[in-house]
Amino acid sequence: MASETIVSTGHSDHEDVEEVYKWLEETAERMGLGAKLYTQRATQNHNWIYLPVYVPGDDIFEMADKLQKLEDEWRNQEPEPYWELLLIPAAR
Amino acid sequence: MPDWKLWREMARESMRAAKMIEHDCPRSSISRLYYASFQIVTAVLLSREDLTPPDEREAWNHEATPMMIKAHFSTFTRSRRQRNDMVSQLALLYKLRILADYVSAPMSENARAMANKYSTYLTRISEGILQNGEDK
Repeated sequence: MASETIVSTGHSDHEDVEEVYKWLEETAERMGLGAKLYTQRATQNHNWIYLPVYVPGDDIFEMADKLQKLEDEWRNQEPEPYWELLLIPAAR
Repeated sequence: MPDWKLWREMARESMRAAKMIEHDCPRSSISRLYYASFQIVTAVLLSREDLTPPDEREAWNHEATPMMIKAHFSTFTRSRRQRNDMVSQLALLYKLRILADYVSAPMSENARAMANKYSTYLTRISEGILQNGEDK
């Protein structure tokens, strides 16, 4: 039987994604968005995460603007983050 | 390979339609503004002979198109800030389009004004890129 060598970096992509979600939760709370992240429904394509998120709002511009501000806060970090985000409006 | 010039025509038609219905049908106008932006960005991507949409489709899907701007518009604009602005503006238009079509909450004048502003910006940049390519 061929031997396999598994090298653990101690840092998996999965853990990285969990860190992104933690950052989003904390930042959304700091911004007072009242957001609910549906991480179980998130999908990935290369280094992009497509994440459904619900935010409350009195009109649709307010909802879209809240989501976009959160997304932009992530995207415009320095240094540039590995993961890219597209937050998709979700129902409550 | 789809003809990028036909996608540019589709984008121009969507923009014309958005303007025609903006006062009577503002939600539908937002949808047309998003599609005008999506189609003109697709035209730019298709104008690059080294890029081919997956699965024999004519274009990249809605969720992948911002990714394509981020990954491939560096050929056209070196500024990371401008690429991020384009991604952000197309992403906001996408969100507005979903919300306008699926959520019954009121739609303020802000929604139409911002959709118009961002769609105009994306169209201006993309039309400029395509024109430069034709002039070479």
